Amino acid sequence: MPDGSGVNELYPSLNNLDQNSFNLSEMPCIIRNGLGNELSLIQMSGLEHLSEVEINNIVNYVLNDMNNLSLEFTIQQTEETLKDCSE
Amino acid sequence: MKLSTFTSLICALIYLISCSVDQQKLPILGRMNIEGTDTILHKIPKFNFINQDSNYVTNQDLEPYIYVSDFFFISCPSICPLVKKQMLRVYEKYKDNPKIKMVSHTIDPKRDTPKKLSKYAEKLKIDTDKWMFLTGDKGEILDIADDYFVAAFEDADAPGGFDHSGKIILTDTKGHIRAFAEGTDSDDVTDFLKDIDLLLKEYE
Repeated sequence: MPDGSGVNELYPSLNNLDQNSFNLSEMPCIIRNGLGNELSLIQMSGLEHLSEVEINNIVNYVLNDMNNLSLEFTIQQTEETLKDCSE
Repeated sequence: MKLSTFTSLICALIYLISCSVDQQKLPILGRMNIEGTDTILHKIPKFNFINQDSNYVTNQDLEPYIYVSDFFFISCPSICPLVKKQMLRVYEKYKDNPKIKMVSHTIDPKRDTPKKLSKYAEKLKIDTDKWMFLTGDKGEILDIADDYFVAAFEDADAPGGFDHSGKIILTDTKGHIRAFAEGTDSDDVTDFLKDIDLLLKEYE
């Protein structure tokens, strides 16, 4: 949902993330490449057209505006992460 | 002249609105057909679909109930999550009311098998006796979407491969459509919940 809330277990919430809730460093890769495949129930299409800067902004928006984690990804971190995404 | 036409139009409109408020009854939506001396009201035609447990579901199974329906597909990346959240609001409000059922039709029967629909319902944490997920022949599904006044068609350019509207529809026990809401608009669904209450009064 636009406010980051999910729908039961179907669409996991993006609120209430903490530093241990999942591997936060995967977030740039998930945004770019999506999640799941044809057979999985939970799927997200990749947003391949987004630039590194845009992905970086989204990650920081989710971490800070939706969760107040006071964590910030630098553009260098995002670029580095995106280089190592496994398909 | 123009102004007076406009004024009388407004008056007629106010009259119509006040009428419907007075009667406190939902209209029967859709085109009316006159055949001889009979007035035929629009209704959902006979159908035969398969639910999340691979059992057949027909009109007869729904006949004792009023029901709320929508069209979706599991891999839908655009409006479906928003619509499902609103459907869940309807579910939460009426889950203990034995007069209401809910029906979600997938428009992607090729990928959304009964097994997958069953898993979907499980993740949604709902009772499938109350809220069923239906699949079937694609042509029949798209045809019945027309009968619900929902636009649904395959479109390679649309996100996920299908274009469809996020309408939530309220049907009475006779298969007449009585109200609908835009499933992406939470305020509209708030009004829709009032419509459901109004229809329920007819069956008290």
